[in-house]
Amino acid sequence: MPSPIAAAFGLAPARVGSHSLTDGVASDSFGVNADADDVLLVGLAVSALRSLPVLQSLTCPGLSFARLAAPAQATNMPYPGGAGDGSEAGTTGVASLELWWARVPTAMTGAAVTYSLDAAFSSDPFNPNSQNAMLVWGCVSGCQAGDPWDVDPALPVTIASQVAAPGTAATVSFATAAPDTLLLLLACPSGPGTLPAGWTSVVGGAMAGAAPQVTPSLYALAAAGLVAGLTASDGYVGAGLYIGAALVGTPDGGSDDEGGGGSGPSQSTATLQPDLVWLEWSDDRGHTWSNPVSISLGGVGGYITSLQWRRLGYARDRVFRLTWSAALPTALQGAWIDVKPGSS
Amino acid sequence: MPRLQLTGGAYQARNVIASAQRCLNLYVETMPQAVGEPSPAALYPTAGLVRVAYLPQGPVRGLYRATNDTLYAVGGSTLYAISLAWLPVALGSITPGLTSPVSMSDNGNTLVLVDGTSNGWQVTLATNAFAPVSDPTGSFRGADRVDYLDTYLLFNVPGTPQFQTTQSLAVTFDSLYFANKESHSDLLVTLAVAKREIWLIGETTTEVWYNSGAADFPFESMPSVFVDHGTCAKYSVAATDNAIYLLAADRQGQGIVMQCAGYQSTRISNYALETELAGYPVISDAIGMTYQYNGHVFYHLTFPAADKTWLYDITTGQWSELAWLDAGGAEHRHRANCAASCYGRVVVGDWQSGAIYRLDPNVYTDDGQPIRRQRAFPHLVNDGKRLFYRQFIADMDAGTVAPAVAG
Repeated sequence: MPSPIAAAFGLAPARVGSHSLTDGVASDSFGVNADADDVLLVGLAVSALRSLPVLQSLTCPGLSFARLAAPAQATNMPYPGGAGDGSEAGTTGVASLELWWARVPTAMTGAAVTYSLDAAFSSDPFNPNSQNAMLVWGCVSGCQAGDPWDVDPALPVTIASQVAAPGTAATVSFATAAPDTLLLLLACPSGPGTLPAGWTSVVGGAMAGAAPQVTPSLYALAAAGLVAGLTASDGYVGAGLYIGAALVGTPDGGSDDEGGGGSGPSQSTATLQPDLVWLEWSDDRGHTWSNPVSISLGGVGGYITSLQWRRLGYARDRVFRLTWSAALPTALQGAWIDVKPGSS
Repeated sequence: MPRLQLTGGAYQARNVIASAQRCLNLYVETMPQAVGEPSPAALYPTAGLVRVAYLPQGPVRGLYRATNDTLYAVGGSTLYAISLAWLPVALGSITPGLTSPVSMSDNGNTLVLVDGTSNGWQVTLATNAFAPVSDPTGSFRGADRVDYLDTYLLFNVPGTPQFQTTQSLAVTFDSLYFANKESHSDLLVTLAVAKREIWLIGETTTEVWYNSGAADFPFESMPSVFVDHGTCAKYSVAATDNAIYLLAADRQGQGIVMQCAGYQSTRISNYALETELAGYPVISDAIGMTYQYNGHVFYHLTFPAADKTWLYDITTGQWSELAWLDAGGAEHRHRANCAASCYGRVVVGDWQSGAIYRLDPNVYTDDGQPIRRQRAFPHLVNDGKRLFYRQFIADMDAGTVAPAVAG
């Protein structure tokens, strides 16, 4: 039987967006034919002359993006063209690659991604107009409905960032024994790169303008219990930047390993729904916990929202517990309880 | 309605029927009584992480702000100088293959780096020139920890009761510039400087030395000062505000977190934390660091093998648990492996990758990953009789938005 992922593996339309940043914030919309449980991938490449950019956020309504691989950065990207006045020709710049992913909760045909970079990036004193940011986005379609994807923390994320002489190879290696794995590579060679057979190009090959050139490309490989290696050779003298990462799916009929049982909020829920606070209680003196009950933290400006739960049963010894992971300035001072003493 | 007040930190007792108060990624701030607010305390989110630099190799084994106001970092086996724009410049290589913490200090002219081996390295602060520590006298034997006092750089000599020093304002050595920790026979584990005194921290006991200015060797043991605790975790030792914090061991046992100040050692851990630590497979790998934000000075103690992190708020005396969520939602220890304050920021180095993060209380993710906050309340009882719970209202801020954060 083929791997469920290999059988389902397909690529939805994807595209590359390129932005010249002046204020550190950019957004763009894109069309994509995604079904529920598809995996949406965003690769971000940014380049500048001096200040390594720091990504502050990557947001999209209805989607919750998480960074899939640790960022790779290089300080020796070639800068062949200069900014037009000739002053920077032949110097090198800096560049950074990041790979993010989100699970598509319901079918969608398009989305708008907004991302912001830190102020140091947009105020590069050397040449404030010489930054570029490029998004590559793609979608892995046909994933199994109802089975969210895990990112397997046990799999290595490999980063290569090096100066490569013409024809010299940068190598990214994966080693996985997981039965059903989608390997991803975000490659950013300074010139045309070559990839081994078997990898599928999701999207890529764009070239940004005046800043140090970055040409991000996103590749994918469905794998089942293999050790995969990849070598990308570099046509020019300069740095190559590569990020590898892996997503692990769940085979048909298998159970997903994300549920928190009765011991806490479902971990996937806690990660993917940012605006909630969960109440749990223990009626056995702190040993086990009830199923969590969530309510919204009120939305923007909903300061008057009362975070209340009603009809909570009875107990001789109860411990309440609140959990949240909203990326918001929160403060907890305690709680009020309305109780009625029983007779026994 | 009756109020459930939260005034303390984490306290999950040996048996949860006594207390099950988990306090995760939150710290307690008490209100001045004179302010007259109805709630005497609030729990605030601990600081998030924003990546500011990325070294090609991890883990980040040490961060140090030298007296030339430059940040130095060890990522993997390479020492970097990191500029104001957070750009790393590789200076040189140290012992390959190690991942344990390193120690750095400087005498105003030269930075010295030690990594627990018999070697050391130096950087001329004016030029960032890197070189191995060269000692024709053969007396330098490497160290786990280097510190500075009165123009001298101080080193523990691993596996001995001895410490040694450089000569004044130079990374040169005198074969007589060493001394034994002598009040008890245990080996010297590490050392630290606080209040212009050297704390020689052994396996089970500690003694204090000071600069007497004597001609043959400038340091002497402080008479009649003896601390009946040492440390079981050499990297747990951290100093702030003339006090030393460590995971203690003595001739009676181990696993109490202590503050040493004014020749007194004070237990700052509680039964709940001590019971927790006793359940860890290893505590000798604990790494301690101190930093401050929003007026709270913290002692951050992380346990790599147990994959747990605890945070002591020195200002309030309360403990919290810290955890980082991986992409699958599982809890692990906080990302910080070391800390420093430089360029107006508190920065921490990652225990796995080469990332250096800004610790920012106005950021509510760990470099994009959600941070789980959790707080359990005290037990609610009514003389063994049942209580019917009609309503629970959390006294918690709602409707907020994440603030724009400056780079």
